[in-house]
Amino acid sequence: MGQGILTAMATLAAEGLEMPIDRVSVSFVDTDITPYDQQTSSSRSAQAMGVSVMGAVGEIRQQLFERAADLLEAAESDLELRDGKIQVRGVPAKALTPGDIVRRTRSGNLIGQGKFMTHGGLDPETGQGRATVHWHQAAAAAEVEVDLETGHVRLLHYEGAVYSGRTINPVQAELQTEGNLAFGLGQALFEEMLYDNGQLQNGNLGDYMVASFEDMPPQLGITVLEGGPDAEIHGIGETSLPPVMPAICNAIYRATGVRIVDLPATAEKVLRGLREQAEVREDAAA
Amino acid sequence: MTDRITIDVTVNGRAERLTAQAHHSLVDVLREQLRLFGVREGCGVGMCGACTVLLDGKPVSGCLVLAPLVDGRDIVTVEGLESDNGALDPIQESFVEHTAFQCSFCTPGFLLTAKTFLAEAADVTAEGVREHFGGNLCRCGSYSKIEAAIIDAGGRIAAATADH
Repeated sequence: MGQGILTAMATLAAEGLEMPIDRVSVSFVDTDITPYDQQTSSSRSAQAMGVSVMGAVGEIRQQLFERAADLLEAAESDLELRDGKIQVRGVPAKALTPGDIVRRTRSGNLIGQGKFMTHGGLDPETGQGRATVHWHQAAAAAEVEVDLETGHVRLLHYEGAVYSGRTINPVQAELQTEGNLAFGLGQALFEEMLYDNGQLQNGNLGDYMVASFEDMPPQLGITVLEGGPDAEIHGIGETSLPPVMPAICNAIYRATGVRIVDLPATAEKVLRGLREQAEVREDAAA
Repeated sequence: MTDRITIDVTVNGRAERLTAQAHHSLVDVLREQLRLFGVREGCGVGMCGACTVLLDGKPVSGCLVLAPLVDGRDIVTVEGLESDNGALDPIQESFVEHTAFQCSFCTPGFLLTAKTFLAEAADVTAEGVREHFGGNLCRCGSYSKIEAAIIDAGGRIAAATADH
């Protein structure tokens, strides 16, 4: 879909066996044969699927070590993964590739399975309990310019930060965070689905305004805060989106005193707010 | 109105003979008859830039061009940007190096628009890029890396031309 999950899975699988990533293929979803899955959601594909992939690769690694120990006549504890081969520690000549091992033991296929399970949940009566296995963190700051005659708002400067834990693909993480700004900026300032008697009136890109190049702030800073090498895989797909709209609307408030309470913060709403302020001032003066 | 019209056109350097009905757009015929899937339809009304192709060297929205009108003309799609030996255009290389895409649906439109922009622009600035590419929408929001890729490509092209 563009968030790079296939690449992330391949990266984790390749790392687990110290193979180059081009030796890993990730199958595409085929509704004919792929097992049913509930959904891809909660910005947790990398975490849930990633941990599962690592578990599955770990099982394969174990199976390879067992067979290699036999073939190389060494104890498993004397074996190590080195340059994509399983080698007797300190004896480079006694090494086998995973392919060698599978062929020579006539194993056919080695299959590994991994699992990611969470525990918790909320008590349906009290609402207490464990709502999530981990929380996602992001922050946003926005500087806007408001035209007091037209109510038009322009985003001048945006800084966004998100915690990404063990980041599998840092460039992809940056791209997703930047994408969240474009998405949030549209929601804050001009995206709106308009209905007439239940019929969507603006369901085309020509009528539904999404952020273009010219809407992006001239000054933009994105910080993806990576955890250390032992950090857990963390979801980030959605995290940096929710703070965008409040940051922009808070900036509008700081600039004009107008509180936007429903999105988008159109020029009309800003102008209405400014007029109400002027009326209040006039009434007070009278 | 249902009669098919014959169109002789050069596409990516090759002479092609296509047929279309009067109301078919360039997007329709390029995708269906030449299987050039780099030409994408995003809005169908010339607003999003996903269907951009070069018509006689100028970027146009393929969804707004009626196919019969390109008879005798020259078309370049994103598939035509790489050289015959498969080497990528410097603009394509720059996009790859900057990872200036996510789902890449908008990428062909950006590349083709950039092709003429960089050939003509004397000075490639961030403001200039923003203004020129306002008609290419990227819903994934890869704008800042796209901007960096275009500016970088501009520098490389200028340097390569200066060397000659």
